Amino acid sequence: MRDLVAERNVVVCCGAGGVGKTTMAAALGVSAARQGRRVCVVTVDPARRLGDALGFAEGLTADPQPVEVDGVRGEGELWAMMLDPAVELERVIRSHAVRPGQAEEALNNQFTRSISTSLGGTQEYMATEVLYRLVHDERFDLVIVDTPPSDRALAVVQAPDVLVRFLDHQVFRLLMGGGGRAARLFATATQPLLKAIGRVIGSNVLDDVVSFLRSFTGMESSFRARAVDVQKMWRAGSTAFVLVAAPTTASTTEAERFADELRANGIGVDRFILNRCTPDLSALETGDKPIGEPLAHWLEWTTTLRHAELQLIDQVGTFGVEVVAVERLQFDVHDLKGLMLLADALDRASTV
Amino acid sequence: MLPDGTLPRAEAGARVLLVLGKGGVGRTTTAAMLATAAHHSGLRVLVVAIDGREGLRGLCTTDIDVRAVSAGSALEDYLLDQGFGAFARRLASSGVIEVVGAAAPGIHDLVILGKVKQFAQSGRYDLVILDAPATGHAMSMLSSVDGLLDIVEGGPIRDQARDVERLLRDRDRCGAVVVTLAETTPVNESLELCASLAQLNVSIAGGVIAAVEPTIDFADDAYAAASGVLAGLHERACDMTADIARFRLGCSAAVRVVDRLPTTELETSDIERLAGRWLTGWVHDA
Repeated sequence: MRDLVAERNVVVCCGAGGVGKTTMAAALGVSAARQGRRVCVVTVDPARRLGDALGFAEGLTADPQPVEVDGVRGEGELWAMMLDPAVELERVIRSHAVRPGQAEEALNNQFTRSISTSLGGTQEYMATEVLYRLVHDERFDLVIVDTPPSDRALAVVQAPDVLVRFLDHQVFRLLMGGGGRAARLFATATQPLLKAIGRVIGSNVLDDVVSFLRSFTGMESSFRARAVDVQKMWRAGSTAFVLVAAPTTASTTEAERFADELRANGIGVDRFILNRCTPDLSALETGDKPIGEPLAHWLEWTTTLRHAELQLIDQVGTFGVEVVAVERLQFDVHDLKGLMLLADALDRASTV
Repeated sequence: MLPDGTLPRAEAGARVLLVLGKGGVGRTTTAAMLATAAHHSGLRVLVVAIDGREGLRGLCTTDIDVRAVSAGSALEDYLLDQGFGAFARRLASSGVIEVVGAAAPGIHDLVILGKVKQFAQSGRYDLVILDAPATGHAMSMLSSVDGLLDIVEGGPIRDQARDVERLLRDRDRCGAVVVTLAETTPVNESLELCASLAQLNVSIAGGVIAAVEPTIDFADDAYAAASGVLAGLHERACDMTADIARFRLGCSAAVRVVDRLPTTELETSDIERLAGRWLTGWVHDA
């Protein structure tokens, strides 16, 4: 994996929940910093785990903080931050505002706060905004991001497209009260739609949404321009996508399906990491002690599992993406020392 | 059949079990195992899978009902039920559903729970098991009810939210099964999940520690001294025992341990095996 973090400017770690994406992103960051790169790791996982592992007692913040890493070469630096959708939404609104007071108006709308945490798509869109900002931040030459679990990771990639579609959407234009004869005709034609929405969710809610959207008037073109830039960034040759999966058929099948969906969006997967593979313990040393029954049972269990995993690794190897099998460490990775050992394992790991 | 040894029946209608836990801990396997065990205990069981989580179907024998519910189609169904008729389809196809979802955050989650409630009240089942999404999403799903009650002043969505709230808070009809792994971080997060459930007033019907690997507790220290690998194994075994004990202590309901099978692909026969062990009490109590 050394080559990947040495060459690219953006590395995106994707995978299902619980496969170790966040930890993998951090370990890749350690590996990159040790090779002299100035790297920032961004996690979208609100759990405090990564912050704890990197030694931030107060947790990660919405701005990058430097991490002390041993064995860093040259200019190498490791920074880490987490995505805070509410903070990010405020930044985005402030940076796109086109008239004085507009940002405050948009931010004071009661919906702005609630959508920043709960609206499907908002968090994903904010993830792309952060990534865009960091890529253009001169302090860093590599940004590593871990994404939400697979289904929502695709939403991160598609967020700019969805935004552009939404800005072009008839309902959006209607709600924005766009002018022109055609728009007015359209407005009349779709009034029942608005009424229907109101009947389902209550008209008070609809009013709030309309005023929320209207507070954005004039910002559309700058949102759209940004979305187009991000679309390009995803597909750039300097961006790498790394898929992380557990060595089980269910997990690799899901990962392959996700890779297909990425491909359908014009994005290729660069590496396939099978995380926490069972180590080879067939040559176990017990000194002068005999291998007793419990140990023999355990060895048989482990060997059976390892054989099944090796078959699976071979199978995944035929999929057309370079596969990296990373052995499970003997301990939970929950601190910087663990991350360094995982980075060692990643540096050693060769493709299958 | 629940970890405390009782059969999960409700006085009226079906009992609903929400299988909860963080990503990758084995919620789907646990849901399939509980469904199989309940089926063998003579209960009429339905398992509900959400969106893409259809692996369940391949894990349960064909005589167990499995239904997949997707957020978008549940909302469309709901609008149809509410008499919006063909209009619902137009709403869905024009993308307005997305705007509705945006307007009332959590509406998709609510209609999924509404669907579960509908299955439970259909009279066709004794037990409805929901293979819930991973913890973060599941908690926003469960709290979507309160969120919607706060923002929606009237109309069918509010009625739906109130009905679902009643089901979730009724400990005789609904309970959570919290699934975790015998590792430090998953146990910590599961204990946080238990606390959040208590705050939401959702009762815990039981805890499951899934995929527990065989461990060796070397009574003779000389083994652990013989090699680094054995010392590591010994340490892992001790950590695991401590994590299991910690979850038992912190979880307000009975907890049981389920073994990991040495395979990369669980099949129906494996689930039958786990369900059989679960029912006969063969499941070891570490």
